[in-house]
Amino acid sequence: MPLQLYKSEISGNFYSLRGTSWIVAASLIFSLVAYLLLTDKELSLLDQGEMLFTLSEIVISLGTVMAVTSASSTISTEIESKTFESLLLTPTSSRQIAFQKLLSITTTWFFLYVIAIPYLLAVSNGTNLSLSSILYVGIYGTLLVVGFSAISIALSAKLKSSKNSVMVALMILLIMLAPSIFFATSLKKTSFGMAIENINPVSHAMNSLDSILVDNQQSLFEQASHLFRVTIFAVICLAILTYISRRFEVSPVV
Amino acid sequence: MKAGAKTSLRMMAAASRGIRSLVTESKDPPASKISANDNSIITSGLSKAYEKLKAVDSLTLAVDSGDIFGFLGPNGAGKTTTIRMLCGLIPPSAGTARVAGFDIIRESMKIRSVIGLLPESSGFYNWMNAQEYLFHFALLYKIEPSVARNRAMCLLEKVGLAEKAYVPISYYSRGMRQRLGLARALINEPRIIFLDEPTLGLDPSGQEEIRKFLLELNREKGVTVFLSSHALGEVSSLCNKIAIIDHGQLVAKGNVDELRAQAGVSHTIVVRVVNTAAARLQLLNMPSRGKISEQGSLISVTFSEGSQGPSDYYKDFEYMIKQGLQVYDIQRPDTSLEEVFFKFTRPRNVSSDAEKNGGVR
Amino acid sequence: MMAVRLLLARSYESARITIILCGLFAALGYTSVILLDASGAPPSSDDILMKVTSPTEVHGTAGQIIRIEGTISNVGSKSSSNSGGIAYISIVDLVDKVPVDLEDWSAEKGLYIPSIEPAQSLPLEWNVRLVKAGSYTIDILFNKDSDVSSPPVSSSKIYLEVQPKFNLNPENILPVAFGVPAVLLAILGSVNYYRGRKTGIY
Repeated sequence: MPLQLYKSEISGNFYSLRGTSWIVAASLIFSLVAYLLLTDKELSLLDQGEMLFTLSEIVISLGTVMAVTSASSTISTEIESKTFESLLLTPTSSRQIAFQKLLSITTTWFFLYVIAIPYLLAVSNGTNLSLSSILYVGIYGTLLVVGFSAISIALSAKLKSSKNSVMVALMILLIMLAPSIFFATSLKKTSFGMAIENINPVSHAMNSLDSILVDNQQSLFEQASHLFRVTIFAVICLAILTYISRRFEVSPVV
Repeated sequence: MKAGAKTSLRMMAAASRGIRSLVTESKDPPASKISANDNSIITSGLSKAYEKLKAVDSLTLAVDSGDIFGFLGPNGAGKTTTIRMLCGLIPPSAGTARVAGFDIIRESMKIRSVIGLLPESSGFYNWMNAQEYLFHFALLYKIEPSVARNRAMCLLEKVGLAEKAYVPISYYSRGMRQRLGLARALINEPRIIFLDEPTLGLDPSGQEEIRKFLLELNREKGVTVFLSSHALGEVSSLCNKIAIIDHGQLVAKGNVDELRAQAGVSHTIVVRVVNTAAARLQLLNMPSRGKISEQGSLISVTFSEGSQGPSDYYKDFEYMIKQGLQVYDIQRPDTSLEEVFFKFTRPRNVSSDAEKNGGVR
Repeated sequence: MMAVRLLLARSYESARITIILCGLFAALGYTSVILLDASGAPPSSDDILMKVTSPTEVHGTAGQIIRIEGTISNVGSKSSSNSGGIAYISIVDLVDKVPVDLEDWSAEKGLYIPSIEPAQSLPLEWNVRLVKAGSYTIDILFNKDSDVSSPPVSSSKIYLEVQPKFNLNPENILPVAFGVPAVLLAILGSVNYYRGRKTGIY
């Protein structure tokens, strides 16, 4: 069975409380945000494109946080719970282990994305943004999830400690999210802010969604430069994982 | 000129590849030429160092196909590191080893298909039940699903877990997990099995079952068993060859008798006779002097086996019988492997070891 | 008698001089005014009149768009090239007692009037979106370009009462907001229950 490990990971997510509670919590958050956006006295008077942008940001942010948290502990947890040794003894190469775990995390993101689709449709009701929002949230979400998951799995394998790998991975994610969350508009316009925005894949994804949903620039051609940069980020992260996963080792014992 | 240089480089590269393939071929026969019955383990100068700490130092040993090989050593001697290197889990720092004919560095993936390992402490996927767990690993070993299912159930029966096959592993006791770990180590029908404390946590009947199971595996299927255990009685009863490792170095190897001889520890025989005044007097006049001690209504005479073996004390037996001594019983207590073990291994000072090892983990 | 005649003559003379002097001053002043007029001096603030032409008491609901209409008139008689300025509305929240940021309320916060001729009246109009429920006053103001010292000209106040908007199920979000988590819980619950039965837990 070529993808046995992947199937086992997916089963583990849905047969365990950890996997199911995450999905349910995400759907409750989407429900709350969508409801607030549409019914709140002041928020409901936002432009619908802006509402859709807010919801899209939340979907992608939740997805990446979920991916980073799962991925950064996937191998280190196996090492700490001593199940990794048995896995390494099978004729499954380290690279296959890494990429099947990556695929399982990407699949979990896919489930999250599917759950988010009804909310995107509801919030975009009456506009011409439904298809674009679903398409671009899927594309950018997947690219960011793949990229961040790859780097997190690599960290998990290298650091061999769940606590450390989760902390470092979340810090990396926070640094990438910081310009969108923490930078004031004035700071974004400085040369420093612009330099950070230029290299930050999350900024590119959010700016692209903003121009699609708020400014109505929906064509792929118009978003090509943003898409390209986010894709490059994902490719670089995959390359790092490919390099790190050429050989996995368990913790030394003397 | 540039074209000429490029051509020269290509020719040199091709030549070096050719030479390399010749060298490789001569040292390492292709897998297809390795006998399917080659269940041996051969190490040569195998070493593993973690920065300044040498966990295993120039280990050279040979385990023949079909051996039940005991691998002993105090805590921290390098047993687990050795087993991990032989299983291809960690690369050695120096030296070579071949397991089932495969090189542990270049052919570690092939080794994985033919070996099984029961580590000292093994984790499990607690959300699975035993049947799912074995089935999962069988599929990872690329076994056909229908075969995998049957094999999983058979193994669960063998290790005594058939009744709890569908209970989540999170509910399993320590002993049950140990049995499940053994079943997992055997799911791919390995030719060589590495066992690190296989009876740890098992009740006496469980330990006996496992011992019988291992003997059966060895005798009927020719599986080579590489056993690391602190239960020296188990090792001495099961293993036909033993190696003792201490501070990463091999300090002794051989069968039990050879180890005893190397350690200078001999067999003893104890003869007990009824305690009478006449018996006491007659024993004082025995041809050779055994150690005499009174134990209530009996007198024990302990003879150590000398270089000539049992013939040393046959004369004493004849004397006792001729004198009419009432022999109560004759015992030959096995000289425990413990004595041999202690002879070869240095006592450990915990604090100095920690300083020396730089607090390793 | 001579003294009285002399006194009267002198008084008559003083009065005549006074009248002549007043006339001279008047002429001077009038001339100045004419001269100043001729040089383009702006009409005074009193010349600009802001009027509200839409109802001065408005009731609406949050989300609704209302129209504020008014006129700006130059009631002065002197023409000027410096008569332009900005007409804008100002909204004050009577509940929170703060002026309202018009960012979301109106897209055209200020209307620039380049010039307004004497006796000219220009219509002014603003579309205002009622963002938040509450009580407000709205003023239409005119800030002259040339007159930096005088306060802006203001219209009379418009009183605005905004009722909150209650919509518990906009865009039919409730079925989605409740339905998706419910369906998920049902599916995942069933899966876990089935598995629990299979493993003998339930």
